[in-house]
Amino acid sequence: MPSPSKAIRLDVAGVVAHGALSTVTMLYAASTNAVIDGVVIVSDLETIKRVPPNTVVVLSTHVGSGGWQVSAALRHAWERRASAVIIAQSTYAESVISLAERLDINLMAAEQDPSIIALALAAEIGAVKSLAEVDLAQFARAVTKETTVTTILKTISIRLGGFRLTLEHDGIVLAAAGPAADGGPTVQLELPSAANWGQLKLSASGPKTTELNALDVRTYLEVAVPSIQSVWMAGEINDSAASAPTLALTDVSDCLQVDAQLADKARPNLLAKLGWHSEHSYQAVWIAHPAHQQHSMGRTAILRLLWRKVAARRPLAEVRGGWLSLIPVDESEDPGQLPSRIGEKVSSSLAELGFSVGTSMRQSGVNNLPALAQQARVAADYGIRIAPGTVTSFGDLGMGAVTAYMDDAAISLVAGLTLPALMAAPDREQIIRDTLAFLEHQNSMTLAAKALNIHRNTLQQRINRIRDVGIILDEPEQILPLHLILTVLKRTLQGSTTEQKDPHNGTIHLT
Amino acid sequence: MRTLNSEDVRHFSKGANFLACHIDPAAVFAYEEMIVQALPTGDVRLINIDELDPNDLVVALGFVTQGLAIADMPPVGDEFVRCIQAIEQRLGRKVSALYSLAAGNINGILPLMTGLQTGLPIVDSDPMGRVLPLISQTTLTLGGVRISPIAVTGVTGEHSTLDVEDPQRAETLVRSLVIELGGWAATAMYPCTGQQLAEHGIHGTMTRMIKIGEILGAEEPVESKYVQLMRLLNATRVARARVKHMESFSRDKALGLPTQTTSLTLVAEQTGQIIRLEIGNEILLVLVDGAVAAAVPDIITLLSADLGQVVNLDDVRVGQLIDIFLTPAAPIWYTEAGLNLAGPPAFGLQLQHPRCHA
Repeated sequence: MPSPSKAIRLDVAGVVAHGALSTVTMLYAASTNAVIDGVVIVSDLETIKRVPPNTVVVLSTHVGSGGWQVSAALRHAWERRASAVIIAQSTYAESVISLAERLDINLMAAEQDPSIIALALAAEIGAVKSLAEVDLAQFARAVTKETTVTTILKTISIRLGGFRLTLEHDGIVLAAAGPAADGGPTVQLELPSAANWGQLKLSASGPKTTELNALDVRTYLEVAVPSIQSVWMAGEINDSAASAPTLALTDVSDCLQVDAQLADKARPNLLAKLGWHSEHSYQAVWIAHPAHQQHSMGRTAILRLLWRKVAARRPLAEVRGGWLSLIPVDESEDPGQLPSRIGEKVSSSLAELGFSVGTSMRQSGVNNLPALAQQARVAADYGIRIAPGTVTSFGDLGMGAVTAYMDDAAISLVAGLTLPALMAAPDREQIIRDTLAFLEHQNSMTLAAKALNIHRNTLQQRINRIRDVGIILDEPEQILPLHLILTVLKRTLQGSTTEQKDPHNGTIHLT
Repeated sequence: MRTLNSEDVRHFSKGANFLACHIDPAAVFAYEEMIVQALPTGDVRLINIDELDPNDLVVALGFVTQGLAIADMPPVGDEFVRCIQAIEQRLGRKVSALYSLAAGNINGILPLMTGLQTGLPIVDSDPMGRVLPLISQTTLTLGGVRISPIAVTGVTGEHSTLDVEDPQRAETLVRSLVIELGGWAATAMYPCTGQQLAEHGIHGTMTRMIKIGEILGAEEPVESKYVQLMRLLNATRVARARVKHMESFSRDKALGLPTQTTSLTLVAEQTGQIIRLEIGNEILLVLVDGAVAAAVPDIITLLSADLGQVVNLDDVRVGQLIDIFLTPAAPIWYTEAGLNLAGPPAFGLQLQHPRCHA
């Protein structure tokens, strides 16, 4: 790998200092050091209108002999963002230098025939371009050898001399490498993507001291993109293959649930063949997505790329309602370690996607693997309903978790039937909040008022209001269903308020 | 028809100078003085083109110079009369009216004197609408009107009549002859009918010179004069700039373009723009920060910023504050044929005219 600090393009200052332009007289040096991509000998002004940027324009002796032509040439060259204009030594005048200064474009005079200068410069440019091509080819070979997206990004970062490389999907960083950016140039490249994969962006942010310009960086990124795509696709295929045992487990789970020992006898080698080991302990992870989200292959690929930060060897299997992974864990390991690691590595990204993660209890052996999957799923579903974007451990769920599985729509219908006055009340949200506080504090007026941060007398008045809308607090057999109905209504109302954002300032209005 | 008085003639002279500030105006002012002195002896009648009978014979009058300034050896006075007689003799019919070869400078004003001498009216038209250096650079050439017969009378009274079809060939022959005749010659050319001049000439150009002179001579603030000039001529002020640098180059020129190229560099007062005037026989090109802002056949005039008076090129000095005015030429000069005949390439400038969008 060549040195990352070496720029791959010529620049005016360098070529004047020790290159083909070392013999020219600098009539005016521009305030910024222009790069040089090409050189052209101009025998008529129209030619300058077609030169690409970063070209050194060498005026033939014929053109350079007319003062106005040099002025017009400077103007055209400036408009084309040329690197410099070279004229014959004898032709320049003060006014021409003044114009070069005004346009801030390099102007040089050649003592010898300007075309000789042009030929020497062309040779130098050709040599540098050859080196650049060789360098790019070496770089392409280097990234081709890498086997993961992250290592490719590392390779790019090193070659660019310490750039921060990120691969992003809708603002979510899927993979990154290199030191933190410190305000240098940033180049972004949209990756061509397959249908449903969403918009992928490869971004490189350089150090302030970098010699590379945006075009250089873009060139490297463009060379690396095919490797990134192929490695990612290969990884996706590998993950799909590696997740087969987990998929198979879900298929045989019915049999295992009936009688695990019997199943093991009937298929003595089945689990071993699938890679499960009875001497290991396992913990299941279920990632759930909101029910309204459409399925897409791209979503699974992006999620799997994120998941490699957590457990690269245990890829996610795409199952109905989400993704599942069964992870072998050490008996000595703290059961909370896995949820912590997930939270640390990917929870913010999953929250961006609207996903929630559930983890199961830890169990030894393979007999209850389907049960572990169910635990993780319950925890993940709880997260989706109660706190989207969180990591929930099954072991942390209390009895209240049962409310997460109630049919909100059905309960709302029952509420409309049994508590019509409440449903029609404009202050129903406050009534529900007060009633729940009262119930959750075992009908203690004092504790409930404290929890609500209001005076006891105020709560007493509100209790009267509660009774007015038809809520009965004195019949024990109705307390449980009442509690459940109000819990669901509260959740439903909270959900509706969070979606009503003011389009003008993003604030939320409670209704 | 309009009979010109001495004030009209003086205004005419100023207007003729405005439209050709690149030429030494000494001869113009000399003719102005001669005409004013001679006015009591006759009338200078200016007629519109539609006052002519379509079959009337009209002829263009103009000096052709090649190295000798007219003011250095003034004409005796009968040179143009001889030329008119030669044309009449060759064509066998009387000339009904005269017209100027160019609407500016000496060739703009001299027909007034000849009109006084001969009693012939002057047509308020010309075939250039400005001053161009070559006798072939006319709208009559564009219209296919014959340039010959051409009557030529030299410094010492020698005279000749040329018959030549091609205007460019006529250019060569006349200039060769002028050198032999002493450095300048009075000429009468483009004899044509009133209808041909009506169809292919540029009209109202003599009256325009008088109006320009009226504006320049008025006791009014400079900016007021500028507003009136812009309105009259559809002109624009390119810049108000101070002269910074003058330089001269020796370059090969085609026959008929005898003067050496000079460049004038100015710096705009307000913007700091660097303005370069490329001057051959006239102000050929105006570059603003290297970009072409005007090019021949645009008419460029330099005016003193303090007085609003024409600054002739010979009088330009470093440090002088000058307003650069651009007056568009007649629309026909911006057609493809017009630009081929009198656009930048005709003066050795390989560039596209800014008004040409092809």
